[in-house]
Amino acid sequence: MAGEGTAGFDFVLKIGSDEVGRARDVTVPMTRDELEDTDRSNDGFKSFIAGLGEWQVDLELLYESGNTIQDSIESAFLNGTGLSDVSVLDQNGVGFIGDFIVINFTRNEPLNDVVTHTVTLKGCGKPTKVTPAS
Amino acid sequence: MIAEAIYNLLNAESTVTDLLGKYENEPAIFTFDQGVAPSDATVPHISIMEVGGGEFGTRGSQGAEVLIQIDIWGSNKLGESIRPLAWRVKEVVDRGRITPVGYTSLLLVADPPQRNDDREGFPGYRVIARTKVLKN
Repeated sequence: MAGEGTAGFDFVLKIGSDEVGRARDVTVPMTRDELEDTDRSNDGFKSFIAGLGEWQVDLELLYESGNTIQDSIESAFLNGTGLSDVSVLDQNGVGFIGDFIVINFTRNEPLNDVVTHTVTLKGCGKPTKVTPAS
Repeated sequence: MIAEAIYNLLNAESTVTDLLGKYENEPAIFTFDQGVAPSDATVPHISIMEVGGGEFGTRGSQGAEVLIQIDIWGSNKLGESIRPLAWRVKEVVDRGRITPVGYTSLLLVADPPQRNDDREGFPGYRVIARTKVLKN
């Protein structure tokens, strides 16, 4: 419903058709370089054009021995291979899909808390907008 | 179900149950919501209550971080100490493994015993435990 808020637990992160169920917090930064094209006509203010874009998926993954999704991310990191068709979708199936490489696969082992992985997936190329009809 | 799982953990440990009083011929460990023991239970006895916690889950599973209050009560007779029992409870619960019904426990830790005497002079200790669980 328009205007309704949404919680993160309703959003879905998938690698191919497999949901990343052990994901906790997920962040999807999308940024562009800023290219300054200021000249004297800008009346004392800077002007910019959009440069190259990039995007990534940062996630906290709850550790589980033998988890196949965790193993596939680990394998992609260790071998320098890619992950295809990674999608970040809302509860209605709207979001983005793309191919990624794994540039961070840190394992956090706090003494008195659960073990997690901090994962960064770097997007390769432009994200593709996804809607339920697409 | 977390309190019951802690009960099972403690009830299976003879180094704890050997130091407890009895209730209906069983080691005096209770999980009543009221956090009290029956009036005819003998001391020392243990009460276990779930007292709160916070959010813990994943995209795929609901879960919870649960705080458990374990109260150990002893006799008011001079010379009888429940401090060894309280420490034994802490040692059994800390880093222990529990299997709550319907959930998987990922972590169980316990703080050292805190003094918690009641108003009538019966000595008490409180051990606060914390677990993180995911729904099965």
